[in-house]
Amino acid sequence: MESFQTSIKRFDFDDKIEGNAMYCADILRPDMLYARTFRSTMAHAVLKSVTLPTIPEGYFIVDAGDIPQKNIIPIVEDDQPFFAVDNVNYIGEPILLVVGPDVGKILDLMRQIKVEYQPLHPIFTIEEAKQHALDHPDDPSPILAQYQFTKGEIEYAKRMAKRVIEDRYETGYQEHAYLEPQSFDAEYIPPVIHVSGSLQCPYYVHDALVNALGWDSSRIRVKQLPTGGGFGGKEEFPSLPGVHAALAAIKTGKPVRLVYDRDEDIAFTTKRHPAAIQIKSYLDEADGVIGCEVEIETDAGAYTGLSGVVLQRSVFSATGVYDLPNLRVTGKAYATNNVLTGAFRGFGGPQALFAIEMHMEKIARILGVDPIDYKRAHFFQTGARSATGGTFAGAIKLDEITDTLVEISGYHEKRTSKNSPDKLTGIGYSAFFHGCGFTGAKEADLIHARVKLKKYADDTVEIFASSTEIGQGALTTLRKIVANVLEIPVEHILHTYPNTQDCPDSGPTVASRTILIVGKLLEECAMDVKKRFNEPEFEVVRSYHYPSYLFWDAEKLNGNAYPDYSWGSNVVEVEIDPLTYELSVTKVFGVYDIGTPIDVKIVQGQIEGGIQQGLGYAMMENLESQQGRLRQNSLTTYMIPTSRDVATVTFRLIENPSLTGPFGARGLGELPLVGIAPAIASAVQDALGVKITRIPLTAEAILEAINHGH
Amino acid sequence: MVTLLPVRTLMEALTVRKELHATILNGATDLMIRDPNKQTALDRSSASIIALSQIDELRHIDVDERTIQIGSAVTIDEILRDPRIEEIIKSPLRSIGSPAIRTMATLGGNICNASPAGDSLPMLYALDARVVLASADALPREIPIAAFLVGVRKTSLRSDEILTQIIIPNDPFSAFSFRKVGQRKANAISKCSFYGAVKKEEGRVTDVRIAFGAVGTTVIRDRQQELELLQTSPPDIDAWVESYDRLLRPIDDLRSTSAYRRRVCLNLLRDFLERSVFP
Amino acid sequence: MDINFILNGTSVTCNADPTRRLLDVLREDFRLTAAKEGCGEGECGSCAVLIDGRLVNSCLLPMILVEGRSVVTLEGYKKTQRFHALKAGFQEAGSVQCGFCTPGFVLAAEALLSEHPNPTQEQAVIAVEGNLCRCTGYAMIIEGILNAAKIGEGLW
Repeated sequence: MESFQTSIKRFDFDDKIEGNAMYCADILRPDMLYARTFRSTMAHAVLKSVTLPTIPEGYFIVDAGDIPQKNIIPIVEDDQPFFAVDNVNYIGEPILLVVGPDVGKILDLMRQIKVEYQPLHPIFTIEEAKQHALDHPDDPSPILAQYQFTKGEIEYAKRMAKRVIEDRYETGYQEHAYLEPQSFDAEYIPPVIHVSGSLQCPYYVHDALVNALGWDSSRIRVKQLPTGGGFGGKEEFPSLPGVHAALAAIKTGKPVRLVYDRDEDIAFTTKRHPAAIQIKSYLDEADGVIGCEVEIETDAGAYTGLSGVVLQRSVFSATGVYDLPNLRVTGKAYATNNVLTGAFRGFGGPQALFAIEMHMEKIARILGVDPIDYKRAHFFQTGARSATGGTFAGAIKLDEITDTLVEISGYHEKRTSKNSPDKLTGIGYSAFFHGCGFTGAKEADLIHARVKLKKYADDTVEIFASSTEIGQGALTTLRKIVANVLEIPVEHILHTYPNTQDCPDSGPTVASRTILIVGKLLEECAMDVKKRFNEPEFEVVRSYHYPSYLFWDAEKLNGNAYPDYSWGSNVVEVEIDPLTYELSVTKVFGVYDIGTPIDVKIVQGQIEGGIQQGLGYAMMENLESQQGRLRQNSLTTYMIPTSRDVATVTFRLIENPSLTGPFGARGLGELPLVGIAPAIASAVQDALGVKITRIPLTAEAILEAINHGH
Repeated sequence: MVTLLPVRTLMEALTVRKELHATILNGATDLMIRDPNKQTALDRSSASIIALSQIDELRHIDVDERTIQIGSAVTIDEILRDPRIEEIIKSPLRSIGSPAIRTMATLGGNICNASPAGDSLPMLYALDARVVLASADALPREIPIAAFLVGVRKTSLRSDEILTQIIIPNDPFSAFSFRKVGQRKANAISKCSFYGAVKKEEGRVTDVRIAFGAVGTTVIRDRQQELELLQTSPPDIDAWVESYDRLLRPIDDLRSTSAYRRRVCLNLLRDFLERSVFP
Repeated sequence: MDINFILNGTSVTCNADPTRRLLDVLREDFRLTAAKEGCGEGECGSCAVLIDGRLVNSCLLPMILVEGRSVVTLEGYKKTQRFHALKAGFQEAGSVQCGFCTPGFVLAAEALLSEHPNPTQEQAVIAVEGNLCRCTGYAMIIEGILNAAKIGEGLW
């Protein structure tokens, strides 16, 4: 498979480097109107009245009254409206749109809109939400989602325990900071509403339009445009601006463009869930962990959104890569009147893995054992069952990953070296995994992915799927898979940005599923095409079938939580300036099992990018909510890493072809991010000899940790 | 709506400044930042503006034995490129913004912005820089930078004045140290900064300059303190640190905490004294 | 007012409010959309263009300061041999993912290479410290720039 993995020029490369890729805001649309969102300034209030100024000719107001069918965004619980009507539940919640030809005039009109609010008591923290839940046992509203699963007999573990170790860990918000803000164009060319934009999931926007308009799919066309980054921030959120733009286009009869300002995007779109995680481990007389209780709490913001699914992943990842016999894991996602929280690369995994990794390291330190040695003694081995009692397809190579990592990083030698007075140095470690594909059996129950290949008379073949190129290389990797099956040049495969009229729903571009699930389907579809390749022109459609070797009980949360897993491990070296407490991550080593890489440069890009995004999460992306408002709401105040902040990355892939993915590939998009934060925190602990239980590790946090000692 | 006044000479500029209280536009990197209503400070003031970049007299750097004279419209990038200017002046300027910002930003602008976190300011205070303020009706007045910067975003620039030059004494210091601490390694507003310079003659310390940025409404520098502590024999580094602890006025804000800023500034001071002044 | 300047080698005049952003003039009046609005406050570098060969954030540049100067955008720059060296260098390194930041980085690279035809790693890192990228983690972009310096030897 060596030649297959070799990098080829990406199919989107020329357009992007020549400045020809037309992102939403680049497209010239004559007669276009602009739409801007008028938003709540209160975190929780009754919306008593909205008084509009005189609206001049050519300007329009769009609000809930313009929604023909349902003012509900269809995301799991259906509790979030497109426009607030009776109440507002977070600062920034859309109340209406002002639409017109001149943005300056629109902003001027918005300044004149008067809203009368009747304040309601807001909830701004998980603690307040918990208290509210305790005070109102008959009111389920503070808990938007909750899950619990058990394994073995936790009470047995408690009885047998010779030692109990407990701690609490906290992680903060994170902003995606995709370089292209949320952007949508919409135009109503009767009878079809055309919506195009920067998005990861055209069918999510499609479904939202169906919900709002009540129209048949034949009257809806959602198209993905070149997308300047997603990272989960363009997974479920775009359903809101996408429908907004469509409603405006229908009402005005003109093309409408809705593009968020950067500060609007940071302040009012979905963020990573902050989490507080309590872990209690029970150790036997051999100092092994025989039982573990994990309680996860997340701030789910004002509406459920994907908070339940994120929470599930946290819950299923709560004990990481360790095969622990007796477990009780509970998770609760609390409603607050804070900013929306939703999908973000890792999707609940980074939070859970931070906690379990720091916790296992803590145990190792208490016992005086090297953390790598202690952790690996608990690793899943081939043939093990997951925390939820599911199977792992194929071999688990955590030992090989660890051995390779220790070798390339020089971990043991570096651990014993001393600090110099000029710099405090430390080395840290984490081991992690990421379940690829949708949770549980949702690939079958919810998504039912379908792909289509069309073979043309000139022997070219076109891919039709809803997977979106968001920088991760989908327009290249999926072509490689099909070309390789058909044994024809990859240039003979056609694949363009998807739209919902031409492309079947192969599911959203999320959950590290594009290669594993969609790529696999395309591989199978291509095999069908291959059999008939001498026919001049034909189409083949292929649908996902839940494999017989997977099982999932959604009630008991038992079985295969994910169709497959990718595995990884990091060693990180840090320096802390003894005068300024500034943290520098100098080196990151990563060893990953992602099955067969489809394209080595694309893989490298995902690994390095994921690592640096994880680095930001761990140390500089401080995002604080105060009275329901994010204090940092611009790229001046929200710090993402610059070229000077990044660590040098050295990585290896180990060979372990997946039994489930195309050509042995697994998922990759999220894995490189999820283990960075605990590896960095572990290195900081090593450097300072103090306990770290929360991120981000700003210099101020480091100084505080030093002051409080431990 | 903003009107650009077509001035090409300093005299023309001073005339319209006086007659129309015209607003000064220099590198624009601060004035072009928009508020949530997409308006800049210029838009809000419906100003008549003078673009200093159009006035040649303000675009020169002159260096002689005694002073370095930098026109107020000289860009940071131009200063960094000038081989006659030493690192003792250049070092803090390298940390302003990013390469694209430094192409347009000016030293004059960095000063007149009067941000407590202005990156050039501790150096200018420490080196006894002076600013020249010209007006149509009077002779130019030259005042120390410490007299020019009076508070947060406040200068003593009169409404008929234009800052035309920054004069930095061309003093031969033996060593200097500049540290800026931001939330990341590039393109960040200063949380706190330290600037120190020392003169040694035949092994004796003859002068020390100490200045701190972003830990007060303006730069913290106290010449009296420098002289008193210089005269203390044997040198008492703890006394230095204690004195400055009393002078610093850091706050808690979006970027950092008072406790952090204080601690780091005093660490940087101690380190400078131990390494470069009294090793 | 009328602003006269040179755009991608051609003398042009544009009638604009003096404080109108160069970014908007390029994108709206001249339909040159390679320079993009990522933040509107000079923080991300997606709007970067060259003025008299130097890198600037066009979202912070009022048209008055463009008078009489020479502006180069990616649309003009891509016709040069130097661009082809950068393109080859970036392709070899895999420097492009979502592509939104790419035009800004290409011009930042040109600004660097025109000063330092054989830059060190550190010089390249500083040259792009004002260009934010969220996809690549920067290393593959730096590598692309250093590749271009070798591939385009003699061009700078």
